[in-house]
Amino acid sequence: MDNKNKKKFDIKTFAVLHFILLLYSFVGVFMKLAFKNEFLSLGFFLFAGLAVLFLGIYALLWQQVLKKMPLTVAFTNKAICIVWGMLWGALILGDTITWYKILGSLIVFPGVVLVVSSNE
Amino acid sequence: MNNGNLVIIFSCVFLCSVLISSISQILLKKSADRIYDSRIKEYLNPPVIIAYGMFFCSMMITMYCYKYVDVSAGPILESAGYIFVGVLGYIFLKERFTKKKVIGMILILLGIVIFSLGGEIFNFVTGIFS
Repeated sequence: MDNKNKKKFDIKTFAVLHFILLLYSFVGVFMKLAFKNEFLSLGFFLFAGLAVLFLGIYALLWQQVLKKMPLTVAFTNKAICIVWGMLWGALILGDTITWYKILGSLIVFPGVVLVVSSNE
Repeated sequence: MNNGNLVIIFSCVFLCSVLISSISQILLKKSADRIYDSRIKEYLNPPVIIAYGMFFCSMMITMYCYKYVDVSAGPILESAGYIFVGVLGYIFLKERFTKKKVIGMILILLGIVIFSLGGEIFNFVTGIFS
């Protein structure tokens, strides 16, 4: 591991990482909404376009995050998307939130915290 | 071919797709650790272009696999990426496995399994004791 990655990463990088993971969590929702519309209709292109836009912003900023953070730590933070996905699924798509999903999220969260703090 | 076999085959294809995506992450990190003359070259260089090509292929393969693989099994199969990236990161990036990191990853995997299959696990356990 190089010296840059040994250092504790700053809060700004961490905030950017979670901002792009928030964007990334919408990609699946937009794709589902796109396929709820008729294929190649205006609604399809609107939501598929939003998915591509969010994915593009995510890809651009992900590369900047990787400059300042070990890959394993950054990648493991992606697990938080399961919590966001559950929320957007319930709020936008009308999916049900079960106790198992809540319990699973409650177990994922300290796991992410442990991986992040392992770099300190 | 019966449906059960197709599910197993496409679950394996799904895992291969996750591996492709994980390898693409290693390429991205390798590229991110290098110093470039300009911001545009940080993105327009062979490793990044190849990595995003692989990432795109992986997404397409994954989407196709959902034709046969149950949606609830998707997050579990995708979580193999944490193991792949961890192992590949150790081999190619010399990112160490600390005790904290390993416990954290185990918690994440456990959480994803409960998140996706909690109902089935509960029914299985109560079935044993009833």
